[in-house]
Amino acid sequence: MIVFEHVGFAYPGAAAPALDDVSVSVSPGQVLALLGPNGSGKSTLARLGNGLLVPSAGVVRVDGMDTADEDTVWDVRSRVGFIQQNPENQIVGTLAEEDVAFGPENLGVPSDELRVRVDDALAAVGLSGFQRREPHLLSEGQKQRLAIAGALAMRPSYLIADEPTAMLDPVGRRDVLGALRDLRRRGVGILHVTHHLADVVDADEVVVLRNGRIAYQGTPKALMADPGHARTLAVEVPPEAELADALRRGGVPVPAGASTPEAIAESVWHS
Amino acid sequence: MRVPTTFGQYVPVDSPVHSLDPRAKMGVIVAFTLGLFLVDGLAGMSVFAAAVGVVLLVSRVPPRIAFRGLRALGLILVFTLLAHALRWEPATVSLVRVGPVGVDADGLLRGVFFAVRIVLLVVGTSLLTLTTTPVQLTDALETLMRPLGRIGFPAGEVAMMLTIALRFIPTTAQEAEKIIVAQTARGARFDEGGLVARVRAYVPVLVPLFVNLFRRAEDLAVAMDARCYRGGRGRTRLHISVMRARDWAVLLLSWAGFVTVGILV
Repeated sequence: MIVFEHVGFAYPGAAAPALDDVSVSVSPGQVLALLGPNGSGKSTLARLGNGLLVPSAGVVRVDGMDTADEDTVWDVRSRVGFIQQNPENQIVGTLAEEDVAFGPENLGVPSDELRVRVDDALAAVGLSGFQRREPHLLSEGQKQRLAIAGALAMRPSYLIADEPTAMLDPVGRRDVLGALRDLRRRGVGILHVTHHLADVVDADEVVVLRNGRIAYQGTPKALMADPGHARTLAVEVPPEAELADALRRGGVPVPAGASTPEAIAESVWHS
Repeated sequence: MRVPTTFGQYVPVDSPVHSLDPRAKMGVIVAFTLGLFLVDGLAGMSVFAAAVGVVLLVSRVPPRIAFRGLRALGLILVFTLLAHALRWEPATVSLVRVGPVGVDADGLLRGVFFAVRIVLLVVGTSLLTLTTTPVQLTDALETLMRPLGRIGFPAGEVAMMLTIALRFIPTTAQEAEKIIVAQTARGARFDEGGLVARVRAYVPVLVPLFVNLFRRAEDLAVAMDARCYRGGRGRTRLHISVMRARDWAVLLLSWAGFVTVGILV
């Protein structure tokens, strides 16, 4: 489990802390969605999760290891994969397979096992057959899936994804979200930073940050059931949730569980 | 501006030369160069010319491309030829004579000899880059530099730097193209005025390009950190190239051949 305990963080020279007394956790196989406007501390929290940053208050533990402990930080990073917003800038290798191999190469994995890990990771994100492809010839969505494969090849227990769909077109976004769902099914715990509640409707928990503090902590369903509250948190709810809310206000009893257009139509039919 | 899928000089065809281990090819180039400088006669030189011709044929690299590197050398070749051929008040019998300047037969032969040496050197060595991808070259350099690691030379790090540079050349080219389009849309002209004006027109392209490169570098550093990059120490590699019997045979035979011809002829 990745546990953030009363975590605070201040960038040097900054007037206000980027994070203040934040406590959240990510378990294997679970998705923690992290939302909030720009500058709310989302990315800072993401970087605290694998020891890229070290908290100035509180403690972050990964499977019991303090990320501030320099003796175990590489063990922490091998357990916590990390992908960023810009797909292009995180690709190191000149060929897709070389990029996927980069992480496990750094861990000293022997070369025959590297081959297995690389092919498995590429298959897991739907990029089988792209081994010899040059990264700059891939679409942005494919590049982002390649980045996920690169993290996956390290056989991590967790993945931190910092706005992985922010720069993608709808197809790329759909494929990346699909790859993340597959990872969760394999038991990987995911910290998913995003601006879109629609990306994380099936998350186990949603945390909305505001000015470095937790402004909301609950389930995505509960947040979508109250679009008015979501709006005050600067969170955009999916159009289906907006529709259900508008119907409810108009006197149509749409149940809280109705999140698809079909389910909403059903409740309108029965009212 | 179109961004090529493979940059540099690499000619993507299959041939026995292409499939040779890059380290063996580098070794052959060293023997070839050594032999080329040991040889002192047109007879020996013709053996080397024949060798280059055979390798060129086997490599299936179009000769037009192989000789492309010579264009830049035209002036040097002409100068070499003339410097050896022309004589001021020549003592020996001249072929042609204009006033005090004459063309000397021995000199002309010497000029041809040196010019041919330059041509063979350029064409011969360029066969390495024409048949080997930049990535293969970097990998080969890394394994060749590895012994230097014992005296503290960061072989793995240097190879990583080269790999990343190669990796980001197409990305940077694509980005430059985008910026040029953006600046053209804002009225910038890249095809007008003299040399100074044209160079100056690229300043608004280079500034955002470099700013973006620094941003990329930061992201990349984070990505490498997150994937446990700790320098070359303890790193394994996906591709381990092994010198096969054929690579050793070509390497050793070329050394024997080139050096023998170089010394004897």
